[in-house]
Amino acid sequence: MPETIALTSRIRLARNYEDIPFPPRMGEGMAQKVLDRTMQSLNGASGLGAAHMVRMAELSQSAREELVEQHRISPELSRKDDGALVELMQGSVYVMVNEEDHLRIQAILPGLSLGEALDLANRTDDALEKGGYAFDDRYGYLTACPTNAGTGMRASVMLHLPALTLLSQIGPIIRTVSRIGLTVRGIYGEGSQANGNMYQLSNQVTLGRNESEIVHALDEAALQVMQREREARASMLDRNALGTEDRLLRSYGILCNARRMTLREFMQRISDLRLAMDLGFVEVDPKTLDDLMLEAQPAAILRREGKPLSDEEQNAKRADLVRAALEAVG
Amino acid sequence: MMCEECGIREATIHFTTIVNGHSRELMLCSECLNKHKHQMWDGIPLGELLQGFWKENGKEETPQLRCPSCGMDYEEFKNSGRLGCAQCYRTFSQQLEPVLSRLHGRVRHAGKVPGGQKAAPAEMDPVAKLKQEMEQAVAKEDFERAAALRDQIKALQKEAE
Ligand SMILES: [Zn+2]
Ligand SMILES: [Zn+2]
Repeated sequence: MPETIALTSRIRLARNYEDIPFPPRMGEGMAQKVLDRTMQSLNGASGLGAAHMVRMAELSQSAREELVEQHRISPELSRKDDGALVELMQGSVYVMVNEEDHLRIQAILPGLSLGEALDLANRTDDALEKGGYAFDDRYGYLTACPTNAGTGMRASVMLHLPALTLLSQIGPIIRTVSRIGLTVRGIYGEGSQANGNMYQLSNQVTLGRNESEIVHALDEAALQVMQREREARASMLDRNALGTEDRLLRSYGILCNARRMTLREFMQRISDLRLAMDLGFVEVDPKTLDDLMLEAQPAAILRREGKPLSDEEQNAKRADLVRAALEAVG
Repeated sequence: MMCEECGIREATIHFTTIVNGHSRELMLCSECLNKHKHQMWDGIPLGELLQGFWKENGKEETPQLRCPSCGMDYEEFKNSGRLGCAQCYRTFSQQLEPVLSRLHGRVRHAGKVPGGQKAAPAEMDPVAKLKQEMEQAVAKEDFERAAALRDQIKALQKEAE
């Protein structure tokens, strides 16, 4: 079974139309103009597949939160009634419309595949530039926040690093990558354990380097961090193989049997299970884990239940969900 | 317990961020949590970074600049950290240069260009280039260099006539 250290790769391109003020300063009717122009370019483009558009105004609060949990939209877009989300290429590309910039093109692919994601984002970008971008020879693509100017690109890789976390080796790694203009953050921030040992590695610099250079540097760094994680796993097994197996499989046992589970515990246990799977202690389809991680988030549970839940109820529903998913494959 | 960030609302969530090696544990209210989530999403604390820069630099002579296209003034840009439109980049270019150079190192777009020309943007005319260098020198308060550049510009302009 292939290991799953790099979970997803993401490329985001920020773009604005030249003749319309950026979203923070848009007047009446301008958001609609941005959306119309965007859909016109996309519908006329070939090779992008059908474009599915949904306006934030049409979605309930919990439906928006669920899109945030799935990392399809940002929390900021979820709060904007005049925002919209367009899905392209069977869900590999999402365009957020009227977020902080007119367009935020995002390509998301599984594993470490930044080059392919950049290619998808570029193809979408090529179709959208017919709308007339705000661009300057010196500052590149112009964005509402000057920290994004230039390529307007943020490339990131989501990494699952349980062994490095356990052996307290995350700090030094982060210091190393920050020297080359990259940054690392813990994700799913709800307490140090509850982040599920996942980290986002991304570029900080967007101006003065081209897209391939940035992607290449990030790719190299991700490969190095992955190698360090493998070494940490090996040394963990060297020191205490039986103890490691015991600890990880206990988490598996708890996932399969618990009747209540907080989000925090869930994230830690699911990380243990993923590691147990990578180390060959147990056989689970990685896809099951990926789906479960989305389905067990609060807004997803709320959607399934269709009514507000107390924390206790939510924890019980989460445990039910986890047992059902793991029974189905076990 | 009160939110450790705003100190106003009740804290409901325990939050940890790790940014460039510094991990910070905080008890936050849901509103402040959203702010952090946004940063995580985007990978960089936006406005704060600019705010910090301006505070540090301490040069508080606020220029009376206003974008002719969207009406944003310098004060507003400083407070929000966001520009209002494409024209704003030209209006506030002198103020932006040092910020961009600190953020990115090199203030010269080197990436993709609309229209499928993958090559680097065309060379600027020499006078414009010198003017830009002069502005940068002024921004860095290197007045000696600025004066030398100004003389070069004058000479070139005379030649052109
Ligand atoms: Zn607060
Ligand atoms: Zn403006």
